[in-house]
Amino acid sequence: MRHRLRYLLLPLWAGALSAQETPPAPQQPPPTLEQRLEEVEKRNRELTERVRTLEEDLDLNRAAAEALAEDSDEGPGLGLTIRRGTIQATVQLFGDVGFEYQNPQEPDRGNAAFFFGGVNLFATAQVGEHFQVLNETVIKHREDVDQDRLVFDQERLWGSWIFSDPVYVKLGLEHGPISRWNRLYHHGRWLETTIERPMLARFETSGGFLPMHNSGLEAGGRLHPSIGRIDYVGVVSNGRGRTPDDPQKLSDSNDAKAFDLGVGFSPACVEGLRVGARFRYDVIAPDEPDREGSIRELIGGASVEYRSASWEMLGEWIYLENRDRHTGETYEHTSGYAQLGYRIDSRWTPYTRFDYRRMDKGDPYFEPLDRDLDRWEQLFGVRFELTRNAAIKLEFGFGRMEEREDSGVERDSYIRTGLQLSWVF
Amino acid sequence: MRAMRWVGLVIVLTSSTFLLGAGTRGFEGTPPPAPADKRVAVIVNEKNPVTDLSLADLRAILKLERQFWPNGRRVALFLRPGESAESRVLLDKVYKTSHEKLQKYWVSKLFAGEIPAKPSYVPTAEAAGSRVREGEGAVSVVLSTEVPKDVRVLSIDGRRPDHAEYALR
Repeated sequence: MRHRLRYLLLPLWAGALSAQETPPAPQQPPPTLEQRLEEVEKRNRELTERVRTLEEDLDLNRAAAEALAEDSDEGPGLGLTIRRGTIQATVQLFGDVGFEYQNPQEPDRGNAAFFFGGVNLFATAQVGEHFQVLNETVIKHREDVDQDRLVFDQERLWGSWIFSDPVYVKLGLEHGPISRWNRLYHHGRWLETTIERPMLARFETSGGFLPMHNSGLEAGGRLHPSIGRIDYVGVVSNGRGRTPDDPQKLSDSNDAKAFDLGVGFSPACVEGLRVGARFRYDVIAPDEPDREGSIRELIGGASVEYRSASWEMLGEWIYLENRDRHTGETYEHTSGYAQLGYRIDSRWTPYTRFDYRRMDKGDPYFEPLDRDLDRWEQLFGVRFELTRNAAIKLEFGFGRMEEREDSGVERDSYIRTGLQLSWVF
Repeated sequence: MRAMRWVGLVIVLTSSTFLLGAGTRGFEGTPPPAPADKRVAVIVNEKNPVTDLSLADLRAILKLERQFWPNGRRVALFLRPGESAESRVLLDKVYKTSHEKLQKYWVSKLFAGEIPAKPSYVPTAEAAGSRVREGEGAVSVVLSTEVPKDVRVLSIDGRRPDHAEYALR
């Protein structure tokens, strides 16, 4: 203990002695003007360097903050956006899987089955201020190819030059404007409120009877008069193939082209309302020996939709007339649906839809694939937003449909229920 | 067959009535209330010839339904993050929807090929000013008390942000 105290006091004694022995410091001469200038310049260099470092840090922080802001607000999906020079590209992937039960079952199937909806590879890019390209490729199941085989299907591929708001020109493969649903949702099942598309918007290879794809030249635009917004589109395309399941994406079986016209109006006085009308003319090539004559096809349609923060209403009606130029017979078909959805709190959207199609029997274009059969369905469902990027939909539907038997066309009631998980990333 | 269709129609109407009755409380789909005493200024590049917009035209531009300025330059939209005061004013007065539904709206527009890219987001008023100064077609929104230098503030329906009846407040 005593030794420790001695060691502690030792520095104090040493300090006192050194203080007594230190001679007074000599008087320093005042710095000259040059020395002071040099000192100021040195200090200036240090401060300049310090400011530069701080500015670099600030830039880094700003960039990080901007990246953070974009990360938190880019919305559903990863929003993979690549910018380089005047090119800005966005990539998104959609997917869906599910389960379905139907009674009575479809031919050659059981009542219940899990299903693979599809994987949608979507990319679009803006090059400069006026040029845009878009690609949509879907990996999906095609009933007409094989019950259990997946195929790559090119759904959209086009380039568009946008001169200004009133005029754009688009060349390539695009979904046709004959159905509003078709142009709203394309193959993005996550975007659709329901599991299934309505009958008039089903694709050519999935039992649909309308042309959903156009391979051709499209022109259109938008006007903004004070009364609201007017949008319009016109298309010249290959038209339909010899059978309803051939969209002629790659070639054309005849020289006659299909013509589409569409117009929509969104009044300024009712935010979210849009009404539209569309028309199509096509001449379908003969399909010998089954069908000797060409078919002149006329389609007219109308749609109305209303969207607000909570409400979502969409309705369409289509009239289709096929005239067989060999027999002179005319066949008239109509189809329509009315869908209503209401968003409750942040996640739940119950919905309902009435859907029907009424077809003249014996249309030589539709009959070989049984697409001239009547059907109606009432649907109830609910959509639940699992996360910002994924939704679960549960549906129950019932209705009546016609089936072609050896004895002729028979009607039967059916029920179906389905569950779908869809997402975007 | 026809009778069954009518039955279906009745079911639709009945369910509609039920759904209408469900809307009795605040919904996520509705826009958040705009913060009190916050006024939002719409800023554009100084070379942009536009000085005034009607609220309807502004809505068309901010929803990218209108994508070109009168001088032919393409609109480049820079928005503020969803929780910012500027965003809340826009959701309430312009978009009339929630932030989540607005995000889905952009995905829908992009997927339909109606817009080539989703709008970009800027974290600060100064960053908004920087983007607007860089691009002739750029447009953004900032609080009227934080207007950056060297940008043009548009009047809406002929009213400046300090006007008592200014629309974006």
